[in-house]
Amino acid sequence: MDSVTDLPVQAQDCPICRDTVDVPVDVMAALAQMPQRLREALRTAPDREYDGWSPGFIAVHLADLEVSRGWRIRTILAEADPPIGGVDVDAWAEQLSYGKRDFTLALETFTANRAANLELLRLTGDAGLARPYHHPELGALTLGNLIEHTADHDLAHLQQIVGGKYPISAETGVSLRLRCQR
Amino acid sequence: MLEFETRKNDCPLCGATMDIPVDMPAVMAEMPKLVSRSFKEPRPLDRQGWSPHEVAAHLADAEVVLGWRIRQILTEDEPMLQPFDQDVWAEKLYYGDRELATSLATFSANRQANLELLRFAGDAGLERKYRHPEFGNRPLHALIEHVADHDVAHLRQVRGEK
Repeated sequence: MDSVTDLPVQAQDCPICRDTVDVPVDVMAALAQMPQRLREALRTAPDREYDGWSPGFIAVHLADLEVSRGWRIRTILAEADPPIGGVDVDAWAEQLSYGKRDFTLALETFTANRAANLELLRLTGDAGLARPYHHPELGALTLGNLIEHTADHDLAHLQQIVGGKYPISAETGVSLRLRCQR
Repeated sequence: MLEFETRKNDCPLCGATMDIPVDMPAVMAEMPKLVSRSFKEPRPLDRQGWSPHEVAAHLADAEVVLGWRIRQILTEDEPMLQPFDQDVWAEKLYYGDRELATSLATFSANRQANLELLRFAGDAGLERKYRHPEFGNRPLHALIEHVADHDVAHLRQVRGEK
């Protein structure tokens, strides 16, 4: 690939971000390519911090959120309209030792969980993506919303690693950090 | 025959007599390899329960849940854990169709990541409390001991041992 962030996207309203975000045109392909894109981004990225988070921190964050997402996908597929809240990503970074975690293990965990999560999504198909859950602040959502949000979240962090961007919507003031938490 | 020593103990969660490895951290770290190896050695199978492939999917899913729970317990104040129905998961999460290699890789990666978190959390982390709708208030170490026993039971199952 020419660039780790070079993939076709479309502007779309995200009911989780409550903002217009860039979602890959082929969401499932983008999700499947993410582990490789992340490895490439980390290989070539300058070692600098973005709002206190280094590229290694971001890799651990992505690994931990993929665990959270695995639990969410399984719960949504197995239960009727379950309650699913967010996570405090700053508390996770501080209390889950992001500064000391093994970066290679984080990448392995992210890759394994992403593959397992995509397997579940392939098996469940469109019917599964339409399954509902509810978020204490955002209200009624579907698994499909969560998956598109994941693809946007992936892309935002790739842009953050390779470009040093830390996007905050000028229109709504919604920060990437807040989007991560939902 | 297990290649490690176990000791009997009352499970602090379910009250049943459990069989946990004497060297629990080392055996928990080795467990993904022991389970994977069991699939390479033909053994008599217990056909009354889950197939070995279904057990692998269950171990993978249970380790994802454990990862989520450890992170909740270490970052929240006495979180209420959400139980799950393993038979519903087996049916609705396609245990009969899941890829063995994906399940084993998921189990292994999450197990190493979970043990890393526990090492960093140390004794103070293992004493952190959570709430469970069925079992009440418990420390994280009770959950880990329960998982160690759960490992041994399923290792025996995939090996066709009683």
